[in-house]
Amino acid sequence: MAEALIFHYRAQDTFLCKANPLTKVVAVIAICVLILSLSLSGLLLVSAALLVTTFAQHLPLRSYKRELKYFAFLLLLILITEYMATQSHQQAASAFLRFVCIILCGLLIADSTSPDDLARSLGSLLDGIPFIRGWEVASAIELTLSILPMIFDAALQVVTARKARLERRRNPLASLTSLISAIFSLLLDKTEDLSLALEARLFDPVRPRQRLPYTIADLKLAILLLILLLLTSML
Amino acid sequence: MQGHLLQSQHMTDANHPILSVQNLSFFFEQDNHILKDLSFSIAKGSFTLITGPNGSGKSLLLRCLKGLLQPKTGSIHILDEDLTHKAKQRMQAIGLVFQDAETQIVGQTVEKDIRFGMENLGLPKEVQENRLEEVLALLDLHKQRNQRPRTLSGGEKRRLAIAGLLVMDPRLLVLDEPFANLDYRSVVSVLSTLLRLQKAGHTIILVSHEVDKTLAHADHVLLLDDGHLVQSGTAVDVYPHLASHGIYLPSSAGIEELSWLKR
Repeated sequence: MAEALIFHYRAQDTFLCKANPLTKVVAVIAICVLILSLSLSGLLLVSAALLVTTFAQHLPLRSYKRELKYFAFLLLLILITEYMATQSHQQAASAFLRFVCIILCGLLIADSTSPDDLARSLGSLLDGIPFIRGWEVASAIELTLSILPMIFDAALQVVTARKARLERRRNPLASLTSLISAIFSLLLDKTEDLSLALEARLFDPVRPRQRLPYTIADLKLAILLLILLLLTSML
Repeated sequence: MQGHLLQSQHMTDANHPILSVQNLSFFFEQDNHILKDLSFSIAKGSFTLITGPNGSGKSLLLRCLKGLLQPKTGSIHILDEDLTHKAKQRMQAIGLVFQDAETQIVGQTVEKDIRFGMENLGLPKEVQENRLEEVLALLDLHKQRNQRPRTLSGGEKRRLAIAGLLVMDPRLLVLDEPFANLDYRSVVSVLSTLLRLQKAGHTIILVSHEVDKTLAHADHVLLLDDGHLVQSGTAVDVYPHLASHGIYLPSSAGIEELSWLKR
């Protein structure tokens, strides 16, 4: 049984998985815009709401701990640099929470939305806009999203292989360069495999796909988002 | 539509070649030919084993047949139709299971992966549903239907790769080293699935250097070495030449014993 990896879709019976990808994209955009203007208390509320959603979505955060270390490192950097730049605890904490919200939104949408479903929804929407090749754009987004977990897979594979061969890091810069080039090379191989697999199964990026319907889950998500907006506006 | 996949839809005269390859050559660099003037034909409904040592050009041959690479010279006919320069039609006619089946799986769940090829063919929803149910039952993947492919075992991944192709109704099912990295139970499961499909009229081409697992079932064996077709014939014809071309054979084993289904 392979371990769960970050930014991979997991088919589940949750309201977030059942919701239309477009509703989720709109919700994420709304949250990202919202957090730009919120005070610390508002940000705490949004973070808490997103954390509750991660539990409702049964997000396996423990399995992600290796990958989350990268984000923890970035969070620490943001906290320190923001504090040094502004000398304000509040501002530093706000910047920290904004990044937490963005990461949680990313985790939730990736965990609950298959790239294929996202392409269906986006494609059908964009295709209605004149001069935009909607299905092609949606396929490009789908492929980009498919490559995202591949980057983590490749990084994990290279790091594990090096650890297993007792790599000694004498010069951090040289070590990092060789690590990045190894990951990049492996990633190129993996993307070539993916393109061959798609070609072999007659993938056509321009082909219109079946649209996904809107369900009661979309209504639930919209209501929850509205409640969150109202609550934050009161703070 | 019941029984569609189990019964091949491309019924023709069994003695008539479904695939005919003439003087096929391939190279990456002009002075270094990797496949050299290969000619052979495959009968409808047969189980063909293409074998040879590592680097003999087996996988490359499959990629040329499938249309992922274009041969430099020669011709490829499928059911008398010249598809040498029609890569897309070859893609549709030949279902190829890659050496590393995992790289072939593109769907986020087992069901989505099986649907992927059918959607690309633009099949009506009802046909898709029927084929999906049928292939899940045929390849025993019902329980894994909503599972992420990444969490499947090696044998299940291989069966999923076969399922994803089978629903596209290819004329030939081609498998590149289908037993690599599989344990005994998974080998038996994949092999018995292939034999069931052959019995139902599907044409199977299997590329493997592990002849001890399959030779007993092969109607036709092609032996490649260094890009040349060095032997072609029945298992009995080719058997004496295998060891001299670097193919491992268990000592004093008769052809009828060379199957993991009989262990």
